[in-house]
Amino acid sequence: MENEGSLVIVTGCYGSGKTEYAVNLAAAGEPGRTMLVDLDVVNPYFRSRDLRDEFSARGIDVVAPEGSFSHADVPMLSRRVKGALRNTEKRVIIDVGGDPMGARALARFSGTIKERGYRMRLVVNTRRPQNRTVEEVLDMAARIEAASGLVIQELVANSHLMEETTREVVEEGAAVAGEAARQSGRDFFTVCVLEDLLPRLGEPRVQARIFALKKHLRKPWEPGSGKAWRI
Amino acid sequence: MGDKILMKGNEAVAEAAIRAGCRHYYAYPITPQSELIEYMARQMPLAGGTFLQAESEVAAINMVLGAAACGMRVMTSSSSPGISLKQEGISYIAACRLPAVIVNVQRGGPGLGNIAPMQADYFQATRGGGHGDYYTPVLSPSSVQEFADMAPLAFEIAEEYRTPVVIFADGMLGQMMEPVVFPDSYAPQKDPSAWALGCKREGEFCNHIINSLFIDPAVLDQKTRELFAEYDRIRQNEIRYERYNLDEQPSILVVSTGTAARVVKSAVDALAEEGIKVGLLRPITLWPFPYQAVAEAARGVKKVLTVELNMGQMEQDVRLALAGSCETAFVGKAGGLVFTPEELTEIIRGYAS
Amino acid sequence: MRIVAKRTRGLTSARLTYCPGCLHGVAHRLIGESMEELGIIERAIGIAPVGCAVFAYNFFSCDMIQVPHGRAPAVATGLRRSRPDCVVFTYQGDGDLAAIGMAETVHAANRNENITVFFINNAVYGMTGGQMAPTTLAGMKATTAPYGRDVEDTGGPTRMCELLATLEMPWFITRVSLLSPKDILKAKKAVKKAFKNNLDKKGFQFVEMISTCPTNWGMDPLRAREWAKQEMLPVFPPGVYKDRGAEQEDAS
Repeated sequence: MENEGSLVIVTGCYGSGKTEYAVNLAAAGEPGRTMLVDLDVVNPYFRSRDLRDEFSARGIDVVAPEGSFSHADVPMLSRRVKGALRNTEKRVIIDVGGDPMGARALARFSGTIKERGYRMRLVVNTRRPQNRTVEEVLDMAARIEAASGLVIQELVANSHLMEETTREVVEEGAAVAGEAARQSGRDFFTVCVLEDLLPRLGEPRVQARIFALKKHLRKPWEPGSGKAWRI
Repeated sequence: MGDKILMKGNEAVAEAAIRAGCRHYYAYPITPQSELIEYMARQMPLAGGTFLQAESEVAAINMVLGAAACGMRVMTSSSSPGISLKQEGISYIAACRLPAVIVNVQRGGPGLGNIAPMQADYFQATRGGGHGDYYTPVLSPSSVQEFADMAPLAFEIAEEYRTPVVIFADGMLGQMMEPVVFPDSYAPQKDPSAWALGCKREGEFCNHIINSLFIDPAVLDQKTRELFAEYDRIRQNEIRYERYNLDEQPSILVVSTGTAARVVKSAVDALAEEGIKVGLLRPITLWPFPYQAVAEAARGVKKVLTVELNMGQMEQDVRLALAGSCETAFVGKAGGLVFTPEELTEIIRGYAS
Repeated sequence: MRIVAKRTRGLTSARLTYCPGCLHGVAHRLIGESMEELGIIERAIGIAPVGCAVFAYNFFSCDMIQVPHGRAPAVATGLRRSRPDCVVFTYQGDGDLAAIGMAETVHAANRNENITVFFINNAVYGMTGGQMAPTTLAGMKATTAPYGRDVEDTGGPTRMCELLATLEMPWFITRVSLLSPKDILKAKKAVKKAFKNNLDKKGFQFVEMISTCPTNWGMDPLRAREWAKQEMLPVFPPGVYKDRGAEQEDAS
């Protein structure tokens, strides 16, 4: 279910958890037939390219600036992006930088993307400033559409406070994302919950499928972070 | 208290500063602190304050000097190379006895280095940083919540002692997201009208002069001694630190701050499960340094380890604290690399056995 | 008895530290008188630079601050944005303003900061003992140009009014001379106009004053003035280089 669509674009407000969601989509993809395109020109840390080694070992191709430039302090896009967008043999997931500012990077590829056909998802975390209400979520969606030249069809609720996420937070996010989807005629696609938290949260009452996220992007002091920090 | 929300350290410290009454902010973009200046660009005008992107870090700190001279709650932020450029201005602000807050979201150095987190500006921050005989209080957070809470604290210390205060963060603290909650109210600003420029004054006008030039060496000596009397007061009142796993006698004491201390905590917990008692003393004020607290925590331990994201700087303060009373060792990483908990656990285990 | 001249309330009773015959005293008086006549002493904030005028905080009777070398326009930016109802002015020499402080000068002008910059141009570093300034004339000797300024090697004299007038935003840019009584009367008008424009929140005012340095030039004050008239004024011609107020009047 989660893997519908041969080109999925993941957008959202800054810090909504887009990258973690995109990385999880890619991780669930078929080895040898999945590409994760890192279009984040906004964030200097915690990017999907940090997982390149781990993913390529599993047959998932991460398209991002190469080698030592992957940690460069300049907005840089891989020259492989366009090729990846045209490669219909593979399922492509695009991780876009946050906010309309980050979504700008999509605009230059919008022709190629429209030719192929796509599904664009907006990840919503109501525990981020400027993303707390239905109005704010719809405003964000409109501004991302304007910046990217593309249309958001689906909403993904990802309200969380990392390890401090409560059931209330998940339900609050699902309610806002659901209502925003209803008002704007978009699909309310899924509700994300960190896998490790699921037992503690019980069964949140939400109006969409629950997608259990595995945490890939860890802080350096969290066990298993070594690969993300390339040490 | 409002709702808990998820924020980057860079955003949280900016939001906390605005909530604490900061209405003047001048800075220049640099990674990994740019979210801070961008947050201020967005939110400061909405709060009715002044946001200005300066033409350089040098100009930015001098704009801060101007606003501070008027008694405004004013802040600037940058990352390591930019903080070097601000040092001349910080020296003037310290000499002129003006309150101001400077946030350093450190990156890899020396030179242009890289954009990864480091703690290599320790010497610069804790030894004044610019020219002349002065110090600035230095606050070192190790979580997004603490980073945010340090904004109002920095203003309070700055105003109480009329000194610039440095918040000593790093790229990790600036970039990572954690839940954060803001208090409902903040301490009001201390009235600056006795010394600030451009205040409306009752009665006969007598002008205010702000100056750091004292041509007569005897006068400069006197002024410096007044400054250092204030530093004694800061040493008495403002030393802050955290003791972690130190209630029972540990075999190893680790001294570590900021991001490095977060990894140390993971290692301390892992070793506790193995039955190895390791304690952590985390300095929160780097100047004034908690010399006495380190010496006390070191009593009865086999070794004191200093863990830093540099080649050994705070380690010198730890050795000053111990004055040769205990064996010490240094564990560090340069280049912007960060320890993994597994790696650090193994290193500490090695010293414990 | 009729009082024909008296000390202005815009200046303190402190004795000036400038050399005899130096025109800083004249410039100070013009600024002090203008503040008094406009009634702004209590709401003016002045900035003393690094240079011969470093002690200016002792001489002007308004609020004063002494700042790092070249940074006066940046400090003025912080002051005026904190105290929008005050009149903020800087008082800078050619090294402070046109060498080390060039960036701050250009950017404050471009932002049209509501401040007045007084620029005292005497073609030499006075405070540090007669070194070459950005405004030193071609062939003119200085302690760091002992064979005379070679423009092929060290560049030509920097014309700040002309340079700043290429910007769109600054409000009023003028160069005046302090070399004769007639010139001084004209200079006074420019000073007052600049302050008046600040009171009306018009923005950036730049008043360059052609001055002398008898001590470092090695001339008596009268000869220094004659030399400046002959040598400096052709390179730095007095005049109004930008006046957005007049442009607006012309347009209407």
